[in-house]
Amino acid sequence: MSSSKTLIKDNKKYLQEISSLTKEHYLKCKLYKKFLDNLNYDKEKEYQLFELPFVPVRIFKNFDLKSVDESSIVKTLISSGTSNKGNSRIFLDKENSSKQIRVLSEIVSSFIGNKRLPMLIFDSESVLKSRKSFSARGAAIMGFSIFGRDITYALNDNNDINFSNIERFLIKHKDETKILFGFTSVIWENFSIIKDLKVKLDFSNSILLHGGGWKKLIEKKVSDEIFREFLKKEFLIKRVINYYGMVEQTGSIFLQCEKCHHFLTTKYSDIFIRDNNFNLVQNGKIGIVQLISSLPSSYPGHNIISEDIGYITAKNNCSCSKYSKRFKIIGRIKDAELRGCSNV
Amino acid sequence: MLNLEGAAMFKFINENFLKNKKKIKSYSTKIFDNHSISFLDNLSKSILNNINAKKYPDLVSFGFWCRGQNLKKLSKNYIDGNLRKGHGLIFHICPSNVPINFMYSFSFGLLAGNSNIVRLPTKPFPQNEILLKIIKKLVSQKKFRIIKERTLFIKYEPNEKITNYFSKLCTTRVIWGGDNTIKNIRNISLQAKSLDVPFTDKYSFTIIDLQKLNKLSEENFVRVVKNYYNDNYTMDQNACSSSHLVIWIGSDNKKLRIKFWSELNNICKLKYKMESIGAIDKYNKFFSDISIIKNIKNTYRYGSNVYVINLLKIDKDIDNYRGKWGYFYETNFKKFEDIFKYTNEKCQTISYFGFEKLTLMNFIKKNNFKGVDRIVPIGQSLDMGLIWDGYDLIRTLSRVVEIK
Repeated sequence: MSSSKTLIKDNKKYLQEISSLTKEHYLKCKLYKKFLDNLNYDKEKEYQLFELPFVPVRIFKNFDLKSVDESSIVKTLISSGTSNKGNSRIFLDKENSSKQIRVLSEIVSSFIGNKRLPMLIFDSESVLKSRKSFSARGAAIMGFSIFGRDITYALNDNNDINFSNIERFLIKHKDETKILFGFTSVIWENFSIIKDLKVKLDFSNSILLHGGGWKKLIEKKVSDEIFREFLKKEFLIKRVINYYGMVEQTGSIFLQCEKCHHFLTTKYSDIFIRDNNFNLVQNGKIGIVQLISSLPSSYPGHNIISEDIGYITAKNNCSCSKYSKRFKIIGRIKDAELRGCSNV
Repeated sequence: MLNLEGAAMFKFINENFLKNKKKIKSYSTKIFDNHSISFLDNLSKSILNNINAKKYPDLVSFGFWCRGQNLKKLSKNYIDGNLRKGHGLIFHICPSNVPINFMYSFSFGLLAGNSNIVRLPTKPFPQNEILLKIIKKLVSQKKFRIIKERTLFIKYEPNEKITNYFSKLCTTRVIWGGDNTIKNIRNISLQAKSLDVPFTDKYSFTIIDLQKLNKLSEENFVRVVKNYYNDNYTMDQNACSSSHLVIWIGSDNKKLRIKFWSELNNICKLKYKMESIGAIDKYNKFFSDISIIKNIKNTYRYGSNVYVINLLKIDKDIDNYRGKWGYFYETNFKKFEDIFKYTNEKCQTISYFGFEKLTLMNFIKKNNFKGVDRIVPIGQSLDMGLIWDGYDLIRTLSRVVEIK
């Protein structure tokens, strides 16, 4: 179970970190400075965490934002881009990139332990084509594979299930604890197929880590609970942990508490929920999700307002709530019908 | 020939509908005939007495507009010694994202003496559903049998075959939509003698005389801002006549400008329901503008309700300054005549405060410039008249029968 060490945050220190990150990006990224000037940011003023300026996540799709020299960029992350609004481009220097790996590792191992476990990835190896530019999916796989050994891909290049690979893996590691990893929708689709084909595969003794790509499941009305129950009932997978995060804040992801199934903030991350005028809402109320991460140093992505809606749970009835803000994500902001006469 | 069977009204149709060889008879009555006025007057009463309808200001204002008394008053503008009759059959292609608009389009066609096939928005607007229910009930009365015969309301997903079918039938096609949609529809040809009446995407803006505004009492000042609110927030600033740009005329008065916008915010706080998507879209547009637009002098935000981008100078293509959900641009001109250097064919409505109608009229008469279909006081931008985008709709949808 989760160790509280990564969850506990020194609020004062965290505020200092985020404040100085804001100031640094302000001084180093010209466009970011222009944005903040128009948000009336004053670099000399002392702000509360919730008062610090946040940028809309979509700007990483529209503009190349960097706070370091072009020459020091070692990696570019590209979002999966399921919408038609283009892909985000996140520029990482060496420091930022290694920080992402270190923090991801710290957070995930605080949930599943330090030991490297056999890992079955529900994706095809071809997602990891290029080393310099990664899709978010590829980046997630790369990032999470450090927790595994004997890394095995459950899908072949056509994204069909590679049964022989899975079987070989499961037999080889029969009595060991294993990690299963993949995009939420990919996991759902493929386990549904395995169930329908009535293939006997022993997935007990597995920890399933999944995240991203949940929009498809919302469309199919598959809730997190249905998802968990399905894997427990059909495949005896008892530990199912969802993660939430954005490519703009890779590394400082939010994992689900295994008891109350809320996403948890860590000492690297924070969340606020805002109404449509961007005022904070009371805990328990639904609103637009603002995410903060202390990791982004080579690009100004440390404080963003997302296009997701969710809520912070007000009650403190789980041990995790002692250390973390607990929250749930409900979905995307819906594309409201705009009135007007511009199309037929 | 066109026998609009009662059963065919209000249909969600597909291509199969076209196989069903119902002949359609087109009417050509004189303009503003009593039967049509009486129908619209009855419709007006039914709308204004309907409890559900009252929730929708756009529906109520249509109900108010189509009162017999108002229509009779409007008809007086058409007493010119000519005998005018309908073209025959009008095919109206209405915008998918504006409720009620189709009903104006239909009414113009009817008052001009025609039969009407009206393509409704496929999106289910509650006020449209209420209105259609009321119409259905009304036309089931024996006395409106003829209205039933000459009217067809249809819905269909974009489909070239269906559009082609009705385009070949009609004598006039009225198209509301963006430039691309209209281009696509106009690729579908009409009969040789038929006409197209396109209502394209338009751009509108506002001029305000700073000195005159400054002289207003508090009460009248708030009234102007309220009118500006009604013009622009009723349709999420997305109607053709919504204002995107305020050109302040006279020597600048920053305090007054800010008073105007913050009063607008006060009204929004009481009346406007900002959607999350609107809030996020505006925030994104704000960032985009900051990085792309040159000549930004200042920016103001009032919560998510009002965004203002203050521009030192504006570009020639003013129709690029476009906001939604309450996102405005402003700039300052010394004299109002200068605005006509910036107007183009896309300009529809200039709403104004602080100018004399006569001054405006004389200026328009004397000068040569592009665009501008209407110039109205702030608060009347959304008023639907018989003249739209420069077309007199009764005259456009009818013909003169010359008798000597």
